Amino acid sequence: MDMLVLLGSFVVLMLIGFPVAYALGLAALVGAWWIELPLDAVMIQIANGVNKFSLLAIPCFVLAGAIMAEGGMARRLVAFASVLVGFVRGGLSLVNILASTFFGAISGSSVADTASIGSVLIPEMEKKGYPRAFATAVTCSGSVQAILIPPSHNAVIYSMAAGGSVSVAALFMAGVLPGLLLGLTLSAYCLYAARKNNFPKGRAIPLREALKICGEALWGLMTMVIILGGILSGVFTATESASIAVIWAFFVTMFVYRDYKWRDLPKLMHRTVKTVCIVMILIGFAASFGYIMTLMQIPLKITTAFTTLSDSPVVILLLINVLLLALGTLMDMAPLILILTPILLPVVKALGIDPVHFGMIMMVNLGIGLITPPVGAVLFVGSAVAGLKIETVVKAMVPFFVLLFTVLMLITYVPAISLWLPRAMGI
Amino acid sequence: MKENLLRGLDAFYLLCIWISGLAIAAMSLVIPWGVYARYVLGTGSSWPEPVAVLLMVTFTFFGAAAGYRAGAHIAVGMLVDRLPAALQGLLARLVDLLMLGVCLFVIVWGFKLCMETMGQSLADLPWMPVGITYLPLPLGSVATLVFVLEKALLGSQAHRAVVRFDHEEQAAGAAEAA
Amino acid sequence: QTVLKASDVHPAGYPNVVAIENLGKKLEAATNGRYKLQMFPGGVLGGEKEVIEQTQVGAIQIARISLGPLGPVVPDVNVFNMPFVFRNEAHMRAVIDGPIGKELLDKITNSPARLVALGWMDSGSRSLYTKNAVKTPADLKGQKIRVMGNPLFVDTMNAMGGNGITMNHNDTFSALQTGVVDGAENNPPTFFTANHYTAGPKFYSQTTHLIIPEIFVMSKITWNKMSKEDQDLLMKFSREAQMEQRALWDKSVADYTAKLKASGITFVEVDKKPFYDATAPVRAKYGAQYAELIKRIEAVQ
Ligand code: NA
Ligand code: NA
Repeated sequence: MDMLVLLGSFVVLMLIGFPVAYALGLAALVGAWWIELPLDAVMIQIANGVNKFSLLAIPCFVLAGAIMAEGGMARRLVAFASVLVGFVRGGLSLVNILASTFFGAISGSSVADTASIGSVLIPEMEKKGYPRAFATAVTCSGSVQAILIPPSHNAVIYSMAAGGSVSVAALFMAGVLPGLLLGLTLSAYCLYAARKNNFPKGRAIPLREALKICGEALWGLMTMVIILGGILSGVFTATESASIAVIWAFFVTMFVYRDYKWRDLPKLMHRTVKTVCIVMILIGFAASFGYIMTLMQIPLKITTAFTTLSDSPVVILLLINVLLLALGTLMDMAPLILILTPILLPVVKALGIDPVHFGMIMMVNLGIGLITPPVGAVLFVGSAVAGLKIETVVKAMVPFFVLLFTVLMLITYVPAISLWLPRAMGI
Repeated sequence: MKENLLRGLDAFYLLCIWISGLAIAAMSLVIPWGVYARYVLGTGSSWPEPVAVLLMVTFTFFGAAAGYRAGAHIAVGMLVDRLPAALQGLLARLVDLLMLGVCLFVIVWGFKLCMETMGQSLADLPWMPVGITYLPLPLGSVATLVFVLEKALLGSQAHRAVVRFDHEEQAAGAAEAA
Repeated sequence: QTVLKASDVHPAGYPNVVAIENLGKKLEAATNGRYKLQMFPGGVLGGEKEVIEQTQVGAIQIARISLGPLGPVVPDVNVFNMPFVFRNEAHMRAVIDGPIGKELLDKITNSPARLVALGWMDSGSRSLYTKNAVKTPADLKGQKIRVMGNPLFVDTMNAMGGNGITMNHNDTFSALQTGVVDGAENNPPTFFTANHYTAGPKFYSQTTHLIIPEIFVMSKITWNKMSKEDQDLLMKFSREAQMEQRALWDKSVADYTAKLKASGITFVEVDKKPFYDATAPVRAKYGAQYAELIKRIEAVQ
């Protein structure tokens, strides 16, 4: 009954179109009233939900990514990818995916990736003879890499939702191979599609020009080197690395690239504030919701329910995947991580699954959710950038959904893909 | 009259954005200072952490207020969009009313929490009362309340020029509406 | 039936958690089930700061907390944070069991903190763990040592010869691993359970520079709703919990010390005198206003 009151009021609020962040807070209030808890308790949790040093990494990573994306980074990464893979048949589709891999190394936002890479490459690909829907589908599915390849603010959110017991550095390293696996799988399909549809070859770029392009792109790609290098060598902590990334991004954009104007900075700030605050306030209200859930012992009850269903990790993981995929089609990533981690992590821990590995399963699942209808932020932005109807893009995405699902299954059932790298580095 | 009021609210909206934006910028400078202090000055200073957190809470709650006016908050429109217009209008009223309730809750209980924790202080910054660190919540919620009332009485202002200042976002907005 | 929700940031099975759980069982039996204790260990209800606030408003009934947050309301407890204020753990136990301990609990209860102090808990002594053995302040030169977030602890570590770096507990593991800090300081059970012994440190140098007891408190709102008889019962079982926790604690220190040694950590005996002398300015700076109390503590045998 407790569960029905809390989760039920949340679902009803969602259905009437209430903003998710505030719905979590209001549902927590209803739950607190139901279990006769003083409402002050809800307020304390909301206040402390955002009052945490480890959270600083989230706005900083988003800000660093935004500065890079706006400051002409996307264009330079596309050019760099063209140097590397542009000359093969179907080159531009590979360029698109590789540019997303690079973009993922400076930002954790798939939406920003789709918006910036898509606005450069979708028109370009269409001009060279690729169907626009295909170009959009490639852009959207490629952008899922941004969540996996470090840095990833969603990994930080997961670490926080797990009660700070999962190391951010380990999650970052764990994302590298799944991200590359995803990129390679998509690239392989694009090569095949290029043969089949006779997509054009790109031009090989002359050495002198290529070197200049590489040089420019390296400034941006240094972001990841600085972040990971700094964390792994012990110069600063994962939380601190995010603010260093902001400083670096600002330096490169304003003093190296110099194609972003000082007077445009307020605009950048305006845009970033809106994006970041939505996520941050969600975290605050989710803390109160999670607290009431814990007091009602809902995670415990769900763990018991799952274990009575089956004691096989294979089956439980499959069930969890289905649950995550289903919810992911409807809801956004950050709220789902915040709501589901405290519920599902005890379940998988009881089965002996590594929390870092589970984090990757969650990232891929919810990343797929970003590109699936009916609600998918990346899908919406991709369609908007391409000027296509969502249905048209979704039709072109079908083969990509199959590929992403295959990658998801590999990552779910082969823990080594996620765990090998962090283990090898001893974190 | 209405237009003057809206222009006033435009200014208030920009104020929230500036508070939030400057807080985020200051925060990005404070933490590297902590790193610098550790290496160059050779000792840990304990103030950057709590100060950065206070800045983060500030930009979160003021930015979220602005985000409400901009219609930036994540919501699920699936069911509502399929309902008849009359019912949609009714539900929109209900959402406004409940939002009002949430804002009032954070304002009233938030101030109460601030007052109650004014006597306690942060371990790593002994001169800073805990109550101060919570103050941005009720203050930011007052700002949110203003925009909730605006939306309830004057309709959504998410289309205004100060909010949608560039076409990129217009495109994204159109997609969300689709 | 009244359910008492109890919170501890320590995990299930930790001495403090077990002692409170047993207190609950005794209370349940003695009141024929009118009271029942429900334990939320492992910090599931939040960090210590939130938990204290939750206890003050009556959302949590019993909380095991450290003294740090009480400093501003009952300044006397700050004395316990001072380096080498106790000669050793036995001295600390004699102090908290005796009149000074009782007096401080009463002060907390009578303060505006809206808490009723039930009893003390032992959290042993904190010593250094680093990559090299530390026997004198000179051995700490240039080493970055993680300390708890409080200027007093930073000054203490600096006075001991190292560089005190504040950092929250959760970041410490990877900071040790990657070398953001060269070492940290804590008691043997935490050194082990937080996995810090796998993150680089090889030596546990027993400076025992900090011996800080913890306390467990009840929400005053809950306390005021209890009958006098029930209050007396609770106080009686609390005293028993204080003693039981101590026995469990000693066993746990012995267990974890053995485990640490088995995983290759060398325990180093340290002459405390040079560190005691080195930290004298810290005691002078922070202890001036508590001179009377410090004298009384020193007088306890
Ligand atoms: Na990324
Ligand atoms: Na979706």
